[in-house]
Amino acid sequence: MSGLIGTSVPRRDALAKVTGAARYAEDLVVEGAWFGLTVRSTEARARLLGIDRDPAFDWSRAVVVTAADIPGENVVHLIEDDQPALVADEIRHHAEAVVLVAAPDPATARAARAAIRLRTEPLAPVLDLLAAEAAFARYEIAKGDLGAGFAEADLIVEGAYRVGHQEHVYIEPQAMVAVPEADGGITVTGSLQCPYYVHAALARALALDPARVRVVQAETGGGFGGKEEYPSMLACHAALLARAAGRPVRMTYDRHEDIAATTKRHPAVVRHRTGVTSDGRLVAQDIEVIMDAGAYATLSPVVLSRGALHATGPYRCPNVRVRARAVRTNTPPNGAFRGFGAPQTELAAEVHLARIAEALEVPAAELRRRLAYREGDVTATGQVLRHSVAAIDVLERAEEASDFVAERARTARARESRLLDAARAGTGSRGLHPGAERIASGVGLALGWHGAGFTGSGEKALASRAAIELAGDGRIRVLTAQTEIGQGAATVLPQIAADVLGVPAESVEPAPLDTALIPNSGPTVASRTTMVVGGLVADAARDLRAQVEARAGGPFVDNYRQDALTHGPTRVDARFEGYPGIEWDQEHYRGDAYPAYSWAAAVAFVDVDLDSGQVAVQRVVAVDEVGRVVNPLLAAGQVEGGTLQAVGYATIEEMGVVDGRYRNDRLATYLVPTALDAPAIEAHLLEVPFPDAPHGAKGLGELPMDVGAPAVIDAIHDATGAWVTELPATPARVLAAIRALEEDRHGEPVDEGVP
Amino acid sequence: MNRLRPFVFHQPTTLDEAVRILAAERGAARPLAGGTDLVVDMKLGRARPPVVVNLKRIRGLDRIEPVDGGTRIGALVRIAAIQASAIVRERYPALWRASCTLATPPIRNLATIGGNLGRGSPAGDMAPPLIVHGALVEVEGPGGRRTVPIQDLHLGPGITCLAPGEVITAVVLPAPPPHGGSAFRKLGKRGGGWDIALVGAAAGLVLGGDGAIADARIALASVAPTPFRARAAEAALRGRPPSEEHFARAAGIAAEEARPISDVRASAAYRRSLARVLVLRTLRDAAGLALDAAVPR
Repeated sequence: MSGLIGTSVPRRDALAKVTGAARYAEDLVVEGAWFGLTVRSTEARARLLGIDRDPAFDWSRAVVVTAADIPGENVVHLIEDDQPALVADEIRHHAEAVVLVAAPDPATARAARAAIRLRTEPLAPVLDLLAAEAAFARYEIAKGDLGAGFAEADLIVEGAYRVGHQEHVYIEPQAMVAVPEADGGITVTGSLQCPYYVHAALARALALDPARVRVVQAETGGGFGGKEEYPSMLACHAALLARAAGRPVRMTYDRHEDIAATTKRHPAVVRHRTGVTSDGRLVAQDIEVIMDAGAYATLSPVVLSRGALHATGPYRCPNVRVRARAVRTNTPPNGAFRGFGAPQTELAAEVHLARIAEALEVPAAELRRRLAYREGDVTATGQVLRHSVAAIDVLERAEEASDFVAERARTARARESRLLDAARAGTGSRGLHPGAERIASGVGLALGWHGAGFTGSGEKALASRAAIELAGDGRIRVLTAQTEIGQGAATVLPQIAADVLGVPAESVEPAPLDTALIPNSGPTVASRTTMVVGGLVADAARDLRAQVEARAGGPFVDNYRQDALTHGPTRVDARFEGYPGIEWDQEHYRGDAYPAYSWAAAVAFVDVDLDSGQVAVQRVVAVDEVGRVVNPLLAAGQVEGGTLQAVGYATIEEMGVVDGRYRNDRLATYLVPTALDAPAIEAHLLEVPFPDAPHGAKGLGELPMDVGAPAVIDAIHDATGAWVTELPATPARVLAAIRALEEDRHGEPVDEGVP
Repeated sequence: MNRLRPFVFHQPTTLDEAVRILAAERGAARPLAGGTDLVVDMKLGRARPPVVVNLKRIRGLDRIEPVDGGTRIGALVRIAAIQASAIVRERYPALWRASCTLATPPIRNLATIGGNLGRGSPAGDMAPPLIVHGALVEVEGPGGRRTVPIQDLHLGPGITCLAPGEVITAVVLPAPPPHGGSAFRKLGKRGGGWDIALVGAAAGLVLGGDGAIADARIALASVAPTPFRARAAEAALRGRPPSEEHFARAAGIAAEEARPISDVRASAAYRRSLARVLVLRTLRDAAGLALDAAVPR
């Protein structure tokens, strides 16, 4: 080990990105490429009766592809294979792809698109997740005896929580270029997260031998899960057009099309019914999770699974039932987004726990400290948490770093004096208060956990392979399918290898992300890259080092160049074998849901304008425990980015659906935090190493997304006394919650007099 | 990416020439100033004018100058220049505040006061403070020059009283009254600002010798099809002392008489709540300035 773990090796992609040299899909010059466009549905549900081409348009200038022209199966291969690449008979959501056109220039392509008419007959859509009956997945987790638990309870606390869509707003919209090869194969280059997902989808839809399908990642401007499944769709579209045109075809979405057509975070309703004893123990947790999958399954079964498995929050309770379903509606499909179902259910769990504390009249931080998992505790699926349990560590560090107790005392005093003022204003003198605004500050806390890697037996089933190669010229390359999407994979994986080999970080490079070169080490998702694939890379590097050192009889660093010259190239492949003692029963939802958990706490400071309901998040203290921290600067970047995304989710990011169509389908109306809205974020990283990973790292990417929103909601409550139970906490919702509380308090509407 | 559809582009250098072209094209031509609305609308296909007349080559329309005790602001004066003007800051606080919160700095560097008024958006930031300041709009057209009181300029969303060929050339603000104060505030969906107004409010107060309110003006954005003058609330303040009680009552009346709609950004009910809050706050702000002006120190 050369001591590279724990050092902030500069990111490999930084210079090219900041100088503009990085080449994204739209920057690739492809000789003779045509431009592809999509004709989309304008109804939430309809029968497709026919596709009419305007005879006034000269159709020799363009190619057209419909479902009938698909050589293979008309599916975008993922879990259920229920989503067609193009609508064949029934339109199931707004903005669904029905026809593709391509032409030599964008203007002609647009004219061709405008010359196509869809003949449809409307069908009754299902738009509300609570009204939907069909489900893509249902799970039930059961532990203990729920009835006995409720019988033991002194108090039952109920709550319902609702969250809306969230859009990824990666900086680069979806883009693909497909090039037909002379052997009948296809090469697709584009903006993507999971090259082998795209690879499998192309082979299926084009009925191609997988050996003739090649997928290459272009420099990619962000993903956040939004480039996990949708690139398979766009790659199929570009490839179908390229095959029809007999030449390369480029497809790039503009922001409006990207928002209107691609996946979002699942809207959800989560209901809690909790039995509590007066001494502050949870004795029964009955939780119902309903997620809106949209029109097709995409990744919803696994998103729901992760949501259900995190729904209890990281708290001890002997009797648990979690019932979860992902329902089908006629809205665009929802899919992967940083956190993958957990942010929805952890928001509900945290807000609900704070309300339980309120009911028990104990500080919520104190209740969390009493209930949070410690080593040896057993989760709802019966998993014994044997190692690296850091709930208490992150909680206490967050309290210290934010001076939580003193800050809470300060906001409590302010709240009391406001109530006094209000009482005085009701009785007597009313002077002039120039600029007197009722701005209340609040401090909120949330605790969370996130299972790293695929759920259950997922990692075993993936059986990922990664490799390291010492080339004949002495270069060392790490070969994985892990894409750089801004999170630092291209820096961290070589860094792990260099650490094991005892060479400088810059001596190891990542192999180009090209399925013709790289083994399938699984998708770049689920906070698995550093933990799972990083572990494989470390294993492979250890083997390579041993081989070279055995041959040379000396340290790797002094001998590998000569070894490469004399012995020739050496490649070592490592295959994932499973973590020791991890067993999962998918049928009964019992066992070890994840090999390891990461832990997070966040403290949010907000100012709330009590008369307009506007919320300004001023500061967030984020504490994340992620096992060994490989690259502290990149890790802190993940914490800051995830926290800001969570703050946006909690406050201003609102999609809205009208008749099955996204209402805020432009960045003019779908707001994300800008520099003006961003709070000061203080990232603290804690390390409780994961003993079963060679480098001790756990997952990080999704974790901060789980706790930011509930911390903000808790802070709004601290400022106002009102619980906002629906995200985002828009000014209108916050104001409504404040008004409802004031009406409660005074027994009459306070809409009169001084607001 | 959206491209502009082809159009005929005129770049007159005199007002006469601009008026002639616009008049000849009847309604088909659109005048272009900052372009921050028109160009976006054209890119999105919401506006498809066959003819665009660039006014920015016409000299003399971009000055802020004193006239008869008041101030004349040329139609091509950019919002950033209003924000930077010491005259506006000291004499017309409501207008100055509005210029500080209109969109973003890059947009303020392009957008003009004439364009903001001519666009006729119910959410426009310039009209409410100009109503409070009692501005007159100077208009030049085929029939010659005329002036229009600012509150008569707008007839509906995107609709003004300008005839084909008429262009806004300036707004004229009278001298601010002694013992007066004015203010502007707005709230958007985004706490940090920069956003289009969910509601914008301007208020002006003039105190009489007895310390009571001699004159009050209240104007709101985004609560009606046109910039909205809350006349009943104004009437409720006249002759009253500048107190929290009367401001709160007037704010309630203003919220009642406003006619907001529900749209993509907010519900009518929430807009009404905001109208009340903002009227109360701008009245307090304006009273603070008026009292400072009334009490020598």
